[in-house]
Amino acid sequence: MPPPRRPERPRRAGRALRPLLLALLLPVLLLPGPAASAVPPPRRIVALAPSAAEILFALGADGRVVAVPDAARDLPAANGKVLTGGFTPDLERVVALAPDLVVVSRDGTDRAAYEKLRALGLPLLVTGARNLDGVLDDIRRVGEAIGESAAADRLLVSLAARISAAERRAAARGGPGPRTVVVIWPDPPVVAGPGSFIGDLLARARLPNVVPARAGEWPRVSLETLAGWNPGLVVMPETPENRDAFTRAFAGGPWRIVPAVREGRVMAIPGEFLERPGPRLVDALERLVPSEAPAPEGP
Amino acid sequence: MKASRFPAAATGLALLVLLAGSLLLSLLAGSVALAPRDVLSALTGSGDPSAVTIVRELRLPRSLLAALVGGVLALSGAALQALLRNPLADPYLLGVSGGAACGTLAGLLLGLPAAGLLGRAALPATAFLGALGAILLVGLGASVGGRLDRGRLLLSGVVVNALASAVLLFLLSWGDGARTQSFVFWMLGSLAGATDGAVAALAVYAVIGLAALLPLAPAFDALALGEETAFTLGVPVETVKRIAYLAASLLAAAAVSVSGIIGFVGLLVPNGARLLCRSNRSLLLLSFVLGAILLVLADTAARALFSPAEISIGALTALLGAPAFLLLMRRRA
Amino acid sequence: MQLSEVSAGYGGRDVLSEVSLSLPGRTVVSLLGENGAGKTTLLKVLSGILRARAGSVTLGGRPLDAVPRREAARRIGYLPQGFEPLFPMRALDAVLLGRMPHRGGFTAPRPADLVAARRALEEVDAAAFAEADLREMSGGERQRVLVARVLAGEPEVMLLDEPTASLDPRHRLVVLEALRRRAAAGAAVLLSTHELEFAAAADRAILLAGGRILADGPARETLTAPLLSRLFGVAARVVPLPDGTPLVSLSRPVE
Repeated sequence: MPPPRRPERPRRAGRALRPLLLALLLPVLLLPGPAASAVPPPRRIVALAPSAAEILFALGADGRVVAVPDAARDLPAANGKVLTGGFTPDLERVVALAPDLVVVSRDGTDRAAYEKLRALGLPLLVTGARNLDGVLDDIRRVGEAIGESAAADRLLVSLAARISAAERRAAARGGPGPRTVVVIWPDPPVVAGPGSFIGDLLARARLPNVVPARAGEWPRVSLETLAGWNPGLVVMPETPENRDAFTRAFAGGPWRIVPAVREGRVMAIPGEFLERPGPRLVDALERLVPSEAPAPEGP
Repeated sequence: MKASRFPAAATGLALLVLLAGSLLLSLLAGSVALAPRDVLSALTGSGDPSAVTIVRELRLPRSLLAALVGGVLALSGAALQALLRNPLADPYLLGVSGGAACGTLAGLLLGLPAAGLLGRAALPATAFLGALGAILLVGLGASVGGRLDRGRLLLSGVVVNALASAVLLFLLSWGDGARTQSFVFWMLGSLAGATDGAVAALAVYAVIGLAALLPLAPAFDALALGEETAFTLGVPVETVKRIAYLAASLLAAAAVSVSGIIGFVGLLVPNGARLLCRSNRSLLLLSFVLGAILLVLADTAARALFSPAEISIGALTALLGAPAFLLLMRRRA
Repeated sequence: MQLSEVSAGYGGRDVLSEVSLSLPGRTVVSLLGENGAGKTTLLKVLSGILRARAGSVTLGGRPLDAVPRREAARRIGYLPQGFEPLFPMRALDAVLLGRMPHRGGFTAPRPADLVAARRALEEVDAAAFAEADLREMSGGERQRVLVARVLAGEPEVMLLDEPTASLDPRHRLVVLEALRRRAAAGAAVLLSTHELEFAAAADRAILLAGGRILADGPARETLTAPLLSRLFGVAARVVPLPDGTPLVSLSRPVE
């Protein structure tokens, strides 16, 4: 999960979000899709970043996707697809598949590799989400490119609705929630800065991020610093792979200097929601602002 | 024992045939299985369009780059060994690798590739600039009263490499995770970034390097008897040393900037070539061709052994090179 | 060649002070002195490797600096002390390198070069090793090959720094004979040596002490007991042989 470099200030969503979003989407709904009739929609799509794969599957294009990156192997719709490799895809394999569209992520795919594909004449679409709005924009563009604008719009409307619902719940809390930190990895501690897409979620959930903007997007910090920030809530993205590491770390001595860990104020969110800038970020947002008052789960 | 165990022309021909053979072999290896017949027709441009693309635009540039990088590194090593009068010298000894690494990491951290300014040429350019900086530093450090002093050359090289390591470690600990990871991959050495532009550029460097160094071959032979003796034989020792140093360093810098750090080739190939011939005239050319063959074969192995996963070529040459180096040292003792 | 009031040294410190001597053709001159007296420095100044800080060095009347490098290389042959071969090198090739000044270096050896090289090897009784690798020879064999390298160049002036250091008695004399023959043909030969029979056999001997010339003249005049005692700090006895050649015997160090 390559972190973007430039921090973007997350937009504060107010109560007027829902009508605002609809207003924004309206032109999209009304405008004819560009070149919708000119070129037949791609039938052999290769995704070279897990976020791109998620978006494609969310738009219902599973049948037309012929290959996904190794990291997207876990997605149910990826079953049976050709695997293209890691951050640097196997170019030969991609070329051999003779795709008519290759979807990459600016931060999730090796630039040299996809530029080479572009040079070879393959149609390329570069997604580049760095926050939730960016994800929505990517969904719209991918939908256009594969001729599924209608499906994209439907998805966007539903996502927008869920986002604004969550933001309303967050606002309804009265004041800001507990100061929070999202710990990506416990040893050495790597946390999500405000400029990252996870940081964006925290902002929308009205959970102040203890990590200052100047620390960067995915800073590696010392436990002392973390303890000094004294977060009221520690959020961890939990996956089968990292569960042991987190359990060991939080149970051990050093992490106990962070009061939130000592007192069990740790929230685990399924890692798949937080791993990549895709539609499931909305699921993560909903977990951050649950319907009832949050009952912190232990690690 | 004769000066050359085998007649020169026959050996040269045999090696060129070997080079052509290894290039063809390398075209057969890749993650997509292609039958030899398909590969051959793809070379000429006929047959399945994907196969043509794969063979001509993905595999061929890579193999050509491997040949050029191998040849250039071996040539650089041979020249440096003559210059330093030490068969254990290697192109990275004089700070080139450290400088190139610093240049690359700086370029990555500054976000040059993303800025898209020079496109794919951005990182090789920064690597080359870094290497040039190191070459200048070392050259300056080694100049004593207008003479290029051998001992100081070595020392300066060590110091500049150490300085580069320090800068690298600092930048690595401070930098952003993804960028530093890209850098680590670069350091391991890879020919995957082969583009036609890189092949052409390196070919130009190779030609310039050969043109500069081959005429110096008799001077290198004389230098083997000692600098003073060479001087009394009429060799313009300082000029020869400077040209050799610049040519060898620039060749190494060019290679590192396109392929990262691929070690041991520059060290071992000239020593291997020396088993076949002794005069520098043949040695330089022979090293170039042998280096090319070696790296083409190594890259083929790196791709084919654990296909579709690719072993880093730098790791492979180090794995094979280190034991070979130990053997070489034992033989000398 | 001529040296006139030459002072030279390394790093600001003079090893030679105001040395004057002349080295005419058709002579074999031996150079004697303690270690550190400046013998090697003197040879380097004469060969052009080291520039004199003061004084002049001339070759055939012209200042050495004014002589083009290649011409100087053709006319002066120099053999340094000590050499460790690091790379494989065939003996014949090493000797052929001595012909470099004659063929500009960038061309392949011509038949005339090969002839000269083989002749030189024969003169030093090393023809049998022509094809051998320098690294695999004994020190003495290698030394002879290196002397052959100088001979092959057929220079007018030969400057040799302890050329017989590791040679056995027979080969010492073989080398001396070869040098004498060259001198008879017109060359000027200067060799530094610690071997006193050698010095005695030469036409002239120069005694160098502390960077200055102690004595310079025919062997029988310079190789005298008092001079040698002063030079080496040893008790010396000199007995002239019937033909005039001094026979030197050194017994023990003295204060």
